[in-house]
Amino acid sequence: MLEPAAHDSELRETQRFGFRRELAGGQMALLLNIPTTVLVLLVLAYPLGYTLYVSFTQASIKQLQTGKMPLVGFVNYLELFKDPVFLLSLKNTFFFSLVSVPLIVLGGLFVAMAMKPEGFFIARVTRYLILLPWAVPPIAGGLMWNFIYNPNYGYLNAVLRNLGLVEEFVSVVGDPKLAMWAVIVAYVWRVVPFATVMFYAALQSIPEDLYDAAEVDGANAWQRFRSITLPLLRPTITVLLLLRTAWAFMVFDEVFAITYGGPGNATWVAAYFTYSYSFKYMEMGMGAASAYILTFIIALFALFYIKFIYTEIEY
Amino acid sequence: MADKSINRRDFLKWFGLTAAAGAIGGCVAPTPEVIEVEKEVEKVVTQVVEKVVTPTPETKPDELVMIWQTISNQDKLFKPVLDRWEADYGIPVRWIQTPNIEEQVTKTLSMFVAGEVMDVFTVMITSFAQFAEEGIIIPLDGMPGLDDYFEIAPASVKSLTQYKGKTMGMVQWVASQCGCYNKKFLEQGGWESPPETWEEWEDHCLKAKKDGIATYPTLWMCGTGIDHLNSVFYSLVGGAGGKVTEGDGTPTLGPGSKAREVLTWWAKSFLETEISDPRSLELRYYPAAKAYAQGQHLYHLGTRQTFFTVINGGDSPTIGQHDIFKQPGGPSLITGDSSGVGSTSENPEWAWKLMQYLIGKTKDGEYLGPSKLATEVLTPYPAQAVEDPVVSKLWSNLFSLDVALETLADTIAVTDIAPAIMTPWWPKWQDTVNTKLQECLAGLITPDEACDEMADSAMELKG
Amino acid sequence: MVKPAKLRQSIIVNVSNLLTLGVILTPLLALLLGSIQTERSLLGSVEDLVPKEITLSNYLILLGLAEGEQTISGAGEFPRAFFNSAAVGITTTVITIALASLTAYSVARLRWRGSRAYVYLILLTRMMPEIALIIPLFLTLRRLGLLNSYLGLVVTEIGFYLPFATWILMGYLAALPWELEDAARIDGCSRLGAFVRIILPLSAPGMAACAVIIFLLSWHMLVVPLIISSGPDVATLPVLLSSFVTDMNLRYTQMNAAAVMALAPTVILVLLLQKYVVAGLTAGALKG
Repeated sequence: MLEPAAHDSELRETQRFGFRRELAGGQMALLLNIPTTVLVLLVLAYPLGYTLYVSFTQASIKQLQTGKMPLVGFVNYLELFKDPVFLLSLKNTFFFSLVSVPLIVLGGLFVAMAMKPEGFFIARVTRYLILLPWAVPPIAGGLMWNFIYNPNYGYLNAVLRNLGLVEEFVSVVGDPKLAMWAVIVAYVWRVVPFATVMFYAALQSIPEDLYDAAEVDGANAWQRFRSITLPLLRPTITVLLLLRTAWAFMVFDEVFAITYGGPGNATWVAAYFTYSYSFKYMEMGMGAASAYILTFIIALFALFYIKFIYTEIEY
Repeated sequence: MADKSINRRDFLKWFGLTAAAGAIGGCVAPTPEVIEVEKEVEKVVTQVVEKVVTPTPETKPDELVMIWQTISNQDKLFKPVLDRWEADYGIPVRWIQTPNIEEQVTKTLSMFVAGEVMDVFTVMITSFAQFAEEGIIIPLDGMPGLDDYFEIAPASVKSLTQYKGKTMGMVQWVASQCGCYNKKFLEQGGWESPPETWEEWEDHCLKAKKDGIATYPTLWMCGTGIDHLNSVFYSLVGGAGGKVTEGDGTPTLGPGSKAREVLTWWAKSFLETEISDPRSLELRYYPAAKAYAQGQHLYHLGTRQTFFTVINGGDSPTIGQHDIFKQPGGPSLITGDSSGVGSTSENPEWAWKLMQYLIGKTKDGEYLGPSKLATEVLTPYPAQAVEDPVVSKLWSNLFSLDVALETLADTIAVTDIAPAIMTPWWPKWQDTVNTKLQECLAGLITPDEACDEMADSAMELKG
Repeated sequence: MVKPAKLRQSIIVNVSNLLTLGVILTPLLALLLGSIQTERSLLGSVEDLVPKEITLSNYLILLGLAEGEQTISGAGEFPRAFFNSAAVGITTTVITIALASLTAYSVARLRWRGSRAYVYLILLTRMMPEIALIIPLFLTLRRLGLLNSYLGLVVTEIGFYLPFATWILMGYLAALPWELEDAARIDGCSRLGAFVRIILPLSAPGMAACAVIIFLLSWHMLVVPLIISSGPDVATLPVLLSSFVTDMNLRYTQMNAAAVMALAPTVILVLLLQKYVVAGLTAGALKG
């Protein structure tokens, strides 16, 4: 994958023999990448650089306006690691990721296995509908879960009551022990389809005769799964773990729409911390620094992911 | 409100972009038009910086800029006001709208940092001190007619606008704490009238619980948010004659303090006597009102008059079953967001005129804005608002007008109960207060621990 | 006579699929049921899972086809927000694909120093939570005079999606056989000619897959239109929906109806173009 080297150099050899002159690969690449580079510099790189600079200042809003923001070095970063609320937000983010990512991977694997068999009508229905949750805009999903969790007329309580599981309607989002789980459920529901699709594609690429041979050898379903499916899914599992952890660290929409960080600060995640510090407390420097700490963690996972893709898939 | 020509221009730009594949370059290079706009803005910024004397009101500005929350209440509430403004003065108003108050804050901050012109905009009471401290809003002292408003508003309103001895804004709407009772349940319990003291409130609730009138007789508004849970707490403390902080921010939450006493009583109602509905802990403004409107509770202490549009309004399944009463004990809390004139305004005096149209009186002395607002919230000028027959009819349909006005007359401003609200570190402390109160009411920590931790946090922030 | 093993498999498959479908559909069903009743009946009868009276009035109010006695603030803006979302989504998708295919081609099919580092860098720019970028993005767009305009929305969103789109398309382009391109080159086709005549047609399915995903991302995007729009003129659906995620002015049934209509287009799109979406997701393995 992604290895044009041999071909391009071969062609360069032949170019000497009378092809009309044209741009070399590098020059042409430069040309082709102008629009992308300009746009990315404009809407992503500049804001990132600005935020990085701000993270090394303790600029007030007034100073941001005048542009005179004296640098203070790593003070914000050091402060953050002493701030119990930031540590709590990081802890919440880790908890959220450590719970939701395995759930997403396991859920995705389960659904992919369930919908794989041919010749079952219901499996075909699942294959058709599996992407629905992923197509729901996060903000609409937020409204949906808000409604479902509502302690007074939500469907969750209505169902539980009809099943006789609760006597009185209960508050999920207002309970410090349950609120984070409410966010996790909403998030996992939206993201499992993504994992399912990845697993399904990987399952499809496993040759059937491997299973047939194992069956002849007398391996039962569990043994076949353990000795054939699981090892061959290893790359997919790794990709999903890395990728989904990176994205899970960025969770914000669900928290903002469902719990608003509450009750108290029980569902303050790192991105919510950034939001609060920047726009509620107007401590832009601290907000920016917290965003960079988060970005650093996410980028680590992302780099592992990229490295993994290249080593694993190029065989 | 839309400026049609700008609209069309943008649309053409956009359309041209899709039409031509070659427009890739065009979307990066600024068009002459854009450069023009750019120059204008530069000019504006330098003018603002160089501005020493405010221009006389005789020089009419080309337009005024207001930033107001909610994406589409304009037809209902402010459109008629802006129409009148334009008819009277002929100055168009560019209205920048945001979906919610949270986005309104991010928008005003972004605009301020960018040096954009901002004439009139809402400033939340919780960030009022920051906006004043950072110089985003300017003092209004000396503006013609300012003092007249303070004369007719309830006495406690003025202190909501004072920062370091200066008037930095004008109150846009107010919310005063107010009890709600379920008439049916009150009758079932055999009580003549709603409680006048907290002891009575508690007794009624205990009996209502024992008799099975209501599982949880009281519903509170204790959700996590900007000023939900903590406002209720301050009102309880203020009503009991206590305070949360001193003027310099020193907390008054120590052992034996009124605040600690109140919190102990409150936590007990959740955890021991169970007269308070535990679901209160996630309910913010409307959700709390809607929950109460289901008719499962005897009493409710609400913050905003908006509640009554919900409780007795068209959507309510228990319409007509509720009425209001004055919060037991002493005076009840009053709070409210203000409007400010931006420091990036080119014409502060014209901005002040526009602000009066929106939340005060028109050129002819009519309280047009407040009477429009009064259909959704309570204004600082209720007596003037009810002069509008629409408002008086609406209000008297929804609740006892006398009680509302009486309640409003006996209020204590949040700035008196918690003077630290006028310090820039307030939002940070407020999050601590919310967290500790919620942990306390959920039984995770004791009222003493909650008070100690809130006090420690305030001392630390105060520095 | 069914073999016990077959029977067992059949039971497992049916049960696990039923479970899956239940989990996928129940929340959506709740939302749907919550949107086809009046506010009063929702608040009044909390235990009826299926409303006694079914009404479409919430939808009609949002579409401006009926007058509501009590309407949620912002209801009247629904059609315009829907149009804005569609217009911005389509434009953004088309241009993003066009630009991303250039970059993807240059990385996958041309030899130049630093090509890998270039795509990594581009990808890494998306590793920061969007909320941290609000003020600098506002400053940039203001300098360019792009605030509160379709152009601003489109330009910014393209920039935001280019990293993903490039990543997805790169995988496709790299997998295309070299022989056809080589043959064209030997026939005297320029590199650009070969790109346009050979590579582009061959990668059409990949582009379709990428396009669906980019449209979906644009349809879901909240932060960018929130920064850029300053009113209903260019506000998109997520911005309008976010005005319902509030503690004021609640009408649950109308909010539910708005959510249903907001999720309908991408849900339908994904159902219709499922094959492409799956291909795109597995190629990009990037954003969910």
